[in-house]
Amino acid sequence: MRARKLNKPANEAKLTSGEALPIAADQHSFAPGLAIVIPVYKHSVLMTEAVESALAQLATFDIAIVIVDDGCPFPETESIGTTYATAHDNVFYLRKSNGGLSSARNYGIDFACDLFPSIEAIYFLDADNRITPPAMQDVFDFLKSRPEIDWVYPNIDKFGIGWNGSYQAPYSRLLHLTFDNICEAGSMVSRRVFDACIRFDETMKAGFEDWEFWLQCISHGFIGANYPFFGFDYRQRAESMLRDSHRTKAAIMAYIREKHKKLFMPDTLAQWEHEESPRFAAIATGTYAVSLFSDPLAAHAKIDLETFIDRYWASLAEPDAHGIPPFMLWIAPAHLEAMRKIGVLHNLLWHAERLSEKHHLVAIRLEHDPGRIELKLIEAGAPDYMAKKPLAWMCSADIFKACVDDISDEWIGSIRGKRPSPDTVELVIRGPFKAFDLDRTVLSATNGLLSTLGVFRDSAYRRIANTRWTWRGGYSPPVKKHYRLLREALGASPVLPRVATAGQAPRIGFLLPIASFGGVEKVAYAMARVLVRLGYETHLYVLGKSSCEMVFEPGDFTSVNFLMDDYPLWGGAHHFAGHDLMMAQDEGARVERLLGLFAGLDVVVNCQVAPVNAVLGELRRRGVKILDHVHVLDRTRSGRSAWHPYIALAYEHIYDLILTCSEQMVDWFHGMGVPSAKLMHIRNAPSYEMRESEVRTVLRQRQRRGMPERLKTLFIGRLDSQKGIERLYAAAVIIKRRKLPIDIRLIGGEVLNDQARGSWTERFAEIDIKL
Amino acid sequence: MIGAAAARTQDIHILDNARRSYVRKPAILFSGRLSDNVKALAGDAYELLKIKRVAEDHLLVRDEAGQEKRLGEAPPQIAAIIAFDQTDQELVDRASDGLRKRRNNPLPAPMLIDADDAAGFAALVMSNANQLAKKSAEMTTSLFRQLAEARQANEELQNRFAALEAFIDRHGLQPFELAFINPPAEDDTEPNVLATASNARISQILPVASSGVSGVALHVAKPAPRSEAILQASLASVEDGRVIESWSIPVAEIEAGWMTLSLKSTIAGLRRTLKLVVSVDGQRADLPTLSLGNAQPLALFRLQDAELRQSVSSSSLALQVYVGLPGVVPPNRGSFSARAAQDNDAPGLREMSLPQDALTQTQQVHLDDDSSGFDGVTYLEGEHTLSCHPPAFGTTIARIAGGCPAGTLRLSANLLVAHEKARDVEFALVVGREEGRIIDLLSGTSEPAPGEGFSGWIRVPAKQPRFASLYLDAPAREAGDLYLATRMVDPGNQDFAWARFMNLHALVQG
Repeated sequence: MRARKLNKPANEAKLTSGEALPIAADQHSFAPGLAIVIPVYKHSVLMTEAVESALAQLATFDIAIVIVDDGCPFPETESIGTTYATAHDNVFYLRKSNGGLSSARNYGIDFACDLFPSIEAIYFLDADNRITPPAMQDVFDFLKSRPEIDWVYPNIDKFGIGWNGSYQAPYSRLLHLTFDNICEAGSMVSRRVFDACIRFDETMKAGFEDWEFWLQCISHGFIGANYPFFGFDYRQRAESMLRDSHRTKAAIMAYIREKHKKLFMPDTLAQWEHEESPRFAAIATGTYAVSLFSDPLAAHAKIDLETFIDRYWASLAEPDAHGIPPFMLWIAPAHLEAMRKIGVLHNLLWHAERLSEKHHLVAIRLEHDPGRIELKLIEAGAPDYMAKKPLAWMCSADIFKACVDDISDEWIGSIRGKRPSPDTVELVIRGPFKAFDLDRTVLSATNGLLSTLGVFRDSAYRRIANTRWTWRGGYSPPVKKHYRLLREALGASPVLPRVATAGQAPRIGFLLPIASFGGVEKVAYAMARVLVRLGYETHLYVLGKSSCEMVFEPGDFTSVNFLMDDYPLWGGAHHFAGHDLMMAQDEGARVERLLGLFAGLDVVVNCQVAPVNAVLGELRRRGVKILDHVHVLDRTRSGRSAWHPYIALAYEHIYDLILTCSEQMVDWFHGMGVPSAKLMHIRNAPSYEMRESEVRTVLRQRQRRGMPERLKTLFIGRLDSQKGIERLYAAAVIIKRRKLPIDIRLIGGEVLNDQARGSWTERFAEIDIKL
Repeated sequence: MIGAAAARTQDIHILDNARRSYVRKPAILFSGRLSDNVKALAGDAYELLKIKRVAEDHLLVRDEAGQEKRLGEAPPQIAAIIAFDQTDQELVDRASDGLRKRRNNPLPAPMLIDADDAAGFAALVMSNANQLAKKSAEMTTSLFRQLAEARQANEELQNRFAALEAFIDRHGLQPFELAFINPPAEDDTEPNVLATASNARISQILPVASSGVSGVALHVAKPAPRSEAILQASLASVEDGRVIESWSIPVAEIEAGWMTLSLKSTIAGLRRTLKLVVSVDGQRADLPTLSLGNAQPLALFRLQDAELRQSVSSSSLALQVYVGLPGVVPPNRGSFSARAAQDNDAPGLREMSLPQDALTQTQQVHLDDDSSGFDGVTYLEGEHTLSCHPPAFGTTIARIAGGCPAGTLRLSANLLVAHEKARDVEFALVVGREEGRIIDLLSGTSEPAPGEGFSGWIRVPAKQPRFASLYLDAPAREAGDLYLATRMVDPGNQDFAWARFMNLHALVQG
């Protein structure tokens, strides 16, 4: 047995058999490995229990016990502190002016670190709490055996008002920020933390200063761990400082959030979710290797199926401490890669997550389409429902559990057919996939799912399932529900599973109502192309349709995202200058979904999506730069100027910058009251930039052809009044009437409804000009 | 050296601009010239601090080494405050006033002493030390008084508690409850874990908090009746490293089935984590095989090699944990008492398990026309329990002939529905003077008459152990039969309703 000494003079020591005799402090050079800092204020008598429990420590190293009297008005504190310091060489009594708990702890930290270079850690023991005799040795050993951790926190065993809570879940920064202060102040902290100049915030006198302290530690890259057999006894009475703190929690938390803004950023929280409580478990068809991730493109853990099974059954027994991802996916890695290539992977997972919460199963299918990208939801009853074999499946962990519990295979086995019994929706992704990507599926995802189920059902753990063995109650929410903490923290649901990489370029999202071949789109694509060249990462969001024409280069956007919802592109219950507006509180605003879809963006460029303004204010509050691109000042049939420029005026407050298509538009906005600093004209540029060689070739061809007998003219664009089509029509009528040697060709279509004037296609056809 | 003997080491906290300094001596604050005589008298026992300036928020002093220090707070122990020159008295008074504002405990009064008056200096320091000693003595006597009161209160609590224990024992109000069961795996093919662990020493973290635990039962798959070894077991609380109980059991005495390790008394105090360590002393060639439970997904609770602190199995030990009120004595049969166990039995009363022979002879009975033909009663040999599976509709009744021994005051059992998918089941224990009374008592159409007892129907959800007792108005004059009954709470589906009567025992007088 390792020799331990009692941190108490020899004449007071009561040793159990087998323990070594203590070494009196004056018989050896006092070089403590640990300091116990005990701040005291008005716990004059109870402090004796804390000090006695510190003195009773059985440890192989010296312990300095530092009592910090924080200007306590009760004379007993001084008498008792002085008495202990007089009687015990390793007790130090310090008295200071009252400055609050943080200041008292800091005083003790500085004293201990200054005076004892040998100290490797400090333990904070509040004056009304206690520790058990082996606690410091055990925890110190634990801390030293795990170099990657910087502090060790206990389970909570309360006496007085008794309560026992288990905090045994692997340490999670996500949980620590978004759920509660999972680390009690009575923790042992490595000296590394104090050498990094981290101290308690002395302006925080109303409580939760320990929570803030841990957040400082997190900011510096330190992390903690729970020691399950700590031996920490927390005195709880009906009223306490902690209870007071809860009364003012909202204000304190506002302070903490403001102070640690970076920690509460969506990027940070999403990164932690990915690392600590990954949202998806992707089981590779064929190999059954399990990838655990929130963002499949970020570095992530891969485990074998056996380890995953261990975790699954452990999570059923003690869901607060163990967990598996809340969503399970059966897919070939090649298909994940294929979706990544066309930029729809994150968006696919985002939709599949939402659908998995609503339906039993989501079947995923990829189809080749060279000219467009489309996400299509097919529900039961639709003609092409389950027409082809799914390439992947997703379901929630809850549904998976229900299938494991139900040993009859009939219900789930029906997914082999075209009419599955489970409530199944199909997500079809069409895009320019390569045939090779789609064909690499020798093994079926359906069989992968069913085989996985079989393995889980046959597990030896099944017989002990759902039995909690840890006697302390679980305090933390189930690990598999951590993704909901992220949702709540961001007010977003679901959250696009995309995390920032190290040295991440700023991410710019272009929001478009539709993505066909219009001018707004072309300007957006051109801007994206230029920004990519400048080193930014661009993402396309199409909110009014779930498809887009591939009229941009693959490199223009890192990802393509669809809201895939019945999202009204106009309207709202509020009015401004004759326009209907949507506000965040309106039902149709879809605030949570859109905030989830836009999660992780640094800049948003709204390219004429009117209703999305309802959520941009919240994004701006979170630090996202908001830009508006205004393309045209329209007119109503009665000639009133209208639409997007007015919408921009209504929401001007949230825009950091308004981008215009002309100097004239800049003047218009300025005239309407928008400061010049918020206006920027984006100059027109060719949609397609011809290389010099191409220009030379065209000119040579023209020379060879010679002058034509008839002038050939071409109009490319939309056939509606916004583009001045009535003037073209008038000119065409004159040309035809006078029989001028001019040929007119039109390429384009009618996009805006111009009902009052009838169909422009038909009218041109009447004068023999075909579209 | 005056004062040296009386001086006690003392921490003084002094706040300095440059750094915090720390000395372990009582302080003498002074102003004026310090004579060699006075210096010699003070010796090393005191820190001599010369007052230089009195500011609003601190006192500037200089120590003997010539270092200046700012005292933001009064040093905790001040032996004297002295002006050695009349011209310095005002400075000393101001210093004293300033310190008094920052301190709760009284300070020695500032005194004027001639710089060369060594005797006066010595007298002042001794007088102040005397006052400190008096104050300390007052505090000590106050603590003696509080300790005496606490001792008396403890004595009274002890007496009340002993009376309560005796009452509980007499009336069997709270015998045992099965708090947790990890049954032996049905396909137990694990090797003998004692044989595979280093030094035949294994440890198991228990799934129940210490408070209230009164016994732990291990399941023996294969005894070793010819062994001469001793099985050692100890129960410790992990957080405070305390060994709570230990047992030494000759291996040859250990039988197959559940082996209860009962505590001298139920564990009280704060809730801690319990660890059971089992080892074998002596000849290890022939070791009993302890049963393991089913595969354990929680690594912390897998059976460990106590020496290596590593899992030796992917399962936990098969075990039962019993809880009860402090002072309650567990049933004797099939159990082993703690080392140096005290005899806590109240005179004339003893707790006994129902004989195994009686249990093995248990029969299902059909006492009325509605009785189902469903065959649901089985004695489970390895577990020493009675399975009494209820029918979908109606009641299953089992009779243990002689299950109510002569002298019985109380009959008790732990109840368990041993499958998580089962619906709630109701259990009952009945003793009737004649068989015809059993249905009346179970149906509630009749109250127990003298010599009869009925536990009432106890509702037991799946995997949630419960406890039941029936009481006789007077000790049974002669042995009688005990009836056990089960029925579904919601008739119609008895799938998985694995109803178990466990630990059947009686409190017997005489």
